[in-house]
Amino acid sequence: MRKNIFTLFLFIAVTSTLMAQNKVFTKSGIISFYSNTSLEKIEAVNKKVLAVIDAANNKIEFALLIKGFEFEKALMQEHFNENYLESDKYPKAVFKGSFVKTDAAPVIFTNNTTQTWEITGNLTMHGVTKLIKLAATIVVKNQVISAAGTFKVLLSDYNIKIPAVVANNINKEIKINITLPSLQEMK
Amino acid sequence: MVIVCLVVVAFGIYAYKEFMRKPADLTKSDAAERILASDLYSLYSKYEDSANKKYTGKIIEVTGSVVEIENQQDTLLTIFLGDTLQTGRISCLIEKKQTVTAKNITLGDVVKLKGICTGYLMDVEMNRCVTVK
Repeated sequence: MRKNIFTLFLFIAVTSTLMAQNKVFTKSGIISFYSNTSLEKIEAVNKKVLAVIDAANNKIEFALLIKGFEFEKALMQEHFNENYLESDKYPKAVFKGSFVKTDAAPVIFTNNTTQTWEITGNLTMHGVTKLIKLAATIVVKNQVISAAGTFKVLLSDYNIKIPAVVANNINKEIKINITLPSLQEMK
Repeated sequence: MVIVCLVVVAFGIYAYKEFMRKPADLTKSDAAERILASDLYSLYSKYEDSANKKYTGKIIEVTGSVVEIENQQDTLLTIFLGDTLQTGRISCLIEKKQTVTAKNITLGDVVKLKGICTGYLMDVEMNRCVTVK
């Protein structure tokens, strides 16, 4: 009887901990991309990505401001905003996706674990919405939840036109990395 | 002929300098607009389109109370300005070179920060913020 009560107590304690962390978020996610051709290296980073993981429903969403991307060279940043992404007209990029269940397991934030996931969802950017796939990991270490992922974007899919004169300076397909450090419980 | 050569060289120097130009040093740049944090948040939350036209992409000087400080590994320091009546804030990511100075800022301080306004998500977002005396 005593053992049963202890087991029940332990079950409630564990369940409530997991339930409390069903929805986690950050306002300080990082998205970076890198284009490397023989003519030019282009690197940009956005450190203010808003992201929410809803573990109970296996959902993830993130949003960012296009003007939040920072480049080493001012001219690149100006061209990126004014000519390529047209950030005055399309100020945000938004992703809404789901964790694909590979083994029917839900996303659970169990301490000291690393989970590998495939995420599929719609990325809206530059006025275009397309289905993309991300390869992602969720790491829980010392009670701190963090996530990371990568995906590729074909510029032509999003109507991003690169002028012929610099077409060889920029990769046609861009690899994008996302890092969500220290996800906090959503109250 | 000499004039043509001089024009070509001058253009070359201009093009090179323009290509290598770094983003502006905000400690030496004037703010395009000066506003209270609570007013800036109100404008974005109510009239996002017109606020975007007026403030987004510009250097803005914002004054407000520090309601939250987020410090990630001593490299990403974000200071949130706002007031207790509003849920939204002005999220000011501090310029890397300024993190040492900005670390002296504590909760409840009324501070003046200058940065580039990048728009509105859950908060009004500002990048590359520096302290203003």
